[in-house]
Amino acid sequence: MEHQNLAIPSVPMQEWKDTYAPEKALAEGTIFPELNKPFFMAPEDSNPVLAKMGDDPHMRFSQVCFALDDALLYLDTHPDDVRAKEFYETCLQRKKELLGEAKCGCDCATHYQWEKKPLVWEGGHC
Amino acid sequence: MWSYEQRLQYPVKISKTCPKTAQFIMSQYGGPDGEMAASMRYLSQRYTMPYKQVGGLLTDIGTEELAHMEIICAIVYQLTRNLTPEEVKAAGFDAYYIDHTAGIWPTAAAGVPFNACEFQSKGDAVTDLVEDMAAEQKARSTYDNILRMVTDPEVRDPIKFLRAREVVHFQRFGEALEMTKDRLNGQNYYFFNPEFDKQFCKQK
Repeated sequence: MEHQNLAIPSVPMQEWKDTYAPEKALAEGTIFPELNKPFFMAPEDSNPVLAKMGDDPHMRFSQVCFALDDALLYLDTHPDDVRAKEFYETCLQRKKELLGEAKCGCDCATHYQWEKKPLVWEGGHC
Repeated sequence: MWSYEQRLQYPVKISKTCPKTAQFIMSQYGGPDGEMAASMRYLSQRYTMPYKQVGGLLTDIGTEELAHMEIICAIVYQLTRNLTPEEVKAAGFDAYYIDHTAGIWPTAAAGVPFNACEFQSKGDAVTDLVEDMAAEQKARSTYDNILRMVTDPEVRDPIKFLRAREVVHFQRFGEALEMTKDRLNGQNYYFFNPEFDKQFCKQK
C-alpha cells in the first residue's frame, strides 16, 4: 500500500510478526518488538513500579488490557489481518476470564463504592 | 460516549515527593506537546476525516491519550502530595503554589497556561495527519528531555512507558497517511482537499 512520492511523507505498513508476552509488553510499552525503540538515556531494563505491583490478578488484567489497546490500533490500520484478529480475540477472552477472577473496580458492579477502594491516582489499582 | 475504568493504563507509585520534578513533568499535562493537547487534537480532527478508518484511529488514539493525561496527572499529584511550605520554597515551586496550592492545573513547564492554539484541526486530511505525526515526535522529544533530567526510578518507569507509546502512535498515523494517499491521486496529492472537496472522494 505504500506510496513513495516526492513532496509527501511515506511510512512502511507494519506487518504482523511475533509479539511480546503480555507482562513484557506492558514493561516495554508495546506488544511489538520491532516498534520498541528505547532512548539511550534510559538503558535500565528494570521496571521498579511494575515490580512493586507484583503479579496479582489486577496486574494480569492490566497487562491483557494493554495488549488489547496496542492490538486495537494495529487493527485500525490493518482491519483484515487474520493473525492480528486472532490475537485480539484471544486477549478479549482472557480479559473476560480475569475480570471474573480479580473482581476489580473495572467491574461495573462496584464502580460507585469509591470509599472502599484506593483511588487510582493514589497508586491504587482497581 | 466514554466510560471510566478505575485503573491506570500503567501504574504510578512514587514514594518521594519532589515539587521541582513535578513542575516540569506538568508540561506533559498542559504544555504545548502534552497529552491534553494530543487528545483534544485527535478527538477534534476526527469529525471531518473523509475516511471512516482514519476517523476511527483518531478516536482510539485520542482515547488512549486521555489515559496518558491521567498518568501524567497522577505523577504530578504524587510528586506534590503532603508538601510543607518550606519544601515549596526550597524547590522553587512557590510561583505555582501561590495560584494553585497543590492543585493540579494544566500549564506548560515555563508557566504558559494550556490553550487550544497548541494544536490544530485544519480540516485537511493530509495536513492534519502530518501534524499528528509531528505531535508524536514532539511529545517523544519532551519525554527524552524528562528522562535526561529525572533520576528517581519510580518516576522514570511510567515516563519510559509513555515515551514508547509515542513511537507506536507515530507508526499508526504514518499508516493512516498511507491509507489516505491510497485514495488520492498519486500524481498530485494536493489537487483537492478530500475533507472539503467531496465530489472528488472515493471511499474504499
